[in-house]
Amino acid sequence: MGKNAEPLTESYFYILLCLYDGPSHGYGIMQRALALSDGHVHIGSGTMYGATGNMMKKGWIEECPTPDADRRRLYRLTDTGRRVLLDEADRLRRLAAAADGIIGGEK
Amino acid sequence: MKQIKRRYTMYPAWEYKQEIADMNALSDKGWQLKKGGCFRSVFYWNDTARYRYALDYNNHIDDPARYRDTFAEQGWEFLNDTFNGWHFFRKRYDPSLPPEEYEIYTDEQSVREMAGRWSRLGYAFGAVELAATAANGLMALRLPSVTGIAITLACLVLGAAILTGAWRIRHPHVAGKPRKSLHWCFTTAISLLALGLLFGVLRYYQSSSSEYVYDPSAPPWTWEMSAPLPDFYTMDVEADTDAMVKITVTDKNGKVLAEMGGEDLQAEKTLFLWPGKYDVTVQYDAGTPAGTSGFFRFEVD
Repeated sequence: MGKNAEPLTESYFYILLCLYDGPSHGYGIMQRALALSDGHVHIGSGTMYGATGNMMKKGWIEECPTPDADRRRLYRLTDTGRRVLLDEADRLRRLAAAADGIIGGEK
Repeated sequence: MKQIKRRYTMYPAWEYKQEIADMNALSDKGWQLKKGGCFRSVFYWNDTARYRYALDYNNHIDDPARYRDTFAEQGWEFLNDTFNGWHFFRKRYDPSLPPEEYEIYTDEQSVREMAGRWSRLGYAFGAVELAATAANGLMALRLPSVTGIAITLACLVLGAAILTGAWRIRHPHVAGKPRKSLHWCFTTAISLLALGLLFGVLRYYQSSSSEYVYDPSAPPWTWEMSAPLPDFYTMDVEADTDAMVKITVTDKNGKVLAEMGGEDLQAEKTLFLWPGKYDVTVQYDAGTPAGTSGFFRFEVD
């Protein structure tokens, strides 16, 4: 992601994160995002369709073939998408480190 | 018991959440949506199932198969879509699941994108309605009629409501609470349109005319006209004579409502008349010489 790119929304971030270690389908991404976020991030179908569509247009993810009998859509990360995810993770780490440096573990 | 119920209700697009809430409530009572629509919805009876519904507005789906598959993966069953881009889905209701399970848009950005899609259409349609208001208003000014005024007001109410709705769909809450419904705007606009059309049809066959040949020795000629509806009536006078002629429209109490006069008169006058009978009197100057003749025609439309 370029320096001027906007931060990712939680949904976008989790979709990319869930695809980091291999292809997955929409429902799998939704379940995993829910688990990874301790139940905080639920990605509804409308949000999923829009986000995956936008990310395919940007070239961050792509559809990959699925067995004929399976109607579920399988997505995988592209090299660009991997870079976007790593940059965003790095940005979030720096934010978290800065916050920790000032407020520590206070909640 | 009746197994099918048709419901004729129109929800403003920006109040789609109310429509979802009503469909959910009907499902809890045993009426399940079979086909949703902008003006008419069909429900069937099945009190052994409960569903939760979702409405999506998307008038430009790049990949319809992927769209439906994405919804199906999360248990949403596609019911139907409408001509103008609304899609109806349902999912079996399980009270143990959290409410997010029944939301299709779950982050601010996607809610904004969906609202934005309708909002753009709403602003365009609202602008068209306001242009129609201006065009009808100008016509009503030139040729006043209850029909013209009613249609102008209907366009104005509809245009203002749709423009407000195009803003509201992106700002649905005020002080954390849903805004009051603008459903009354549609009822008002439809009532005005119906009134305008009714008057238009009733007035269509009601033009009447009378012709008169001048005779200076005869007493003033009077013709009785009737106004069947409270409306604007245009009096079209055509007189071809050398005599000075005066035409007076009076009500039955003798109150003068309009006067027209002159030689070779070509005049048009529009009056608002309450239902009733009116007299049109033709007189000419006392000094009009005998033998002066001419033709006179009076038409009310």
